[in-house]
Amino acid sequence: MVKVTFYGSLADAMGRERSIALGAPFLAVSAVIDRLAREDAAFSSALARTRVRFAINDEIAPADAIVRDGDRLALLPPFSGG
Amino acid sequence: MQSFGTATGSPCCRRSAADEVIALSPSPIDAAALAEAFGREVEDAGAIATFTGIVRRDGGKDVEALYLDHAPGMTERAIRNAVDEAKARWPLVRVEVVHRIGKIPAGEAVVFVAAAAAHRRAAFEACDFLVDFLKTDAPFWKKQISRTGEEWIEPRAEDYDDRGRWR
Repeated sequence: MVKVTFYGSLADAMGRERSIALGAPFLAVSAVIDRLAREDAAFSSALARTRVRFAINDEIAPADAIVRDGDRLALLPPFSGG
Repeated sequence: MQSFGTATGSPCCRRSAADEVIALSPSPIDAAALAEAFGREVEDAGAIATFTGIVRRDGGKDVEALYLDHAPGMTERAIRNAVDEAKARWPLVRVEVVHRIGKIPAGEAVVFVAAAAAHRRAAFEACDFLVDFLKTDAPFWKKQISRTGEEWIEPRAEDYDDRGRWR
């Protein structure tokens, strides 16, 4: 299982966390996102309204990075602090 | 002591042994009290620069509050990296960053930043650098709550430009 954590506007649509089964030894981040978007219209809609970056196990990673079973994947809309 | 170049390519001072406080606060922060306590902890500094960010009502939007989301662990680490960079780039005596999380009513402080140094230029610039970092590069997400609804907001173009000054 991969624990997917959502922040900001994406958390409004999806809640804070979901666990997903990869169905394969590993998948690209982009493939995980595509699957979530196909399965959840609210996520697809939220995703379309913002730019998203990714972190695997708390390290920023590109969309073509590999996610493995047991990893934590975070979906990060644009940061806005201060 | 480690020494390395800055983003501008100019020689950098050694990483300082400056004291630091980095905190995320779910409860209201008293910027005046933080500034006073910061000053009491500082020895041998000729300059202290502080910044307090406050939730604006934002004119016609009549903002009631901001909600600050964050990523536990990742957010603290990002702030620590920025503080380390500030300490490497400027000769600082003490640095403090206290950032609210959760719901913050209009008029209340969102963030307090302080930097102490022997001379004013380092204190001003380090404080400015840290605020610009927090605006665009720290894992926070800001939702504006007003009478008309809720809206996640992103940094302005000016915020990204300001951040770019330090690269």
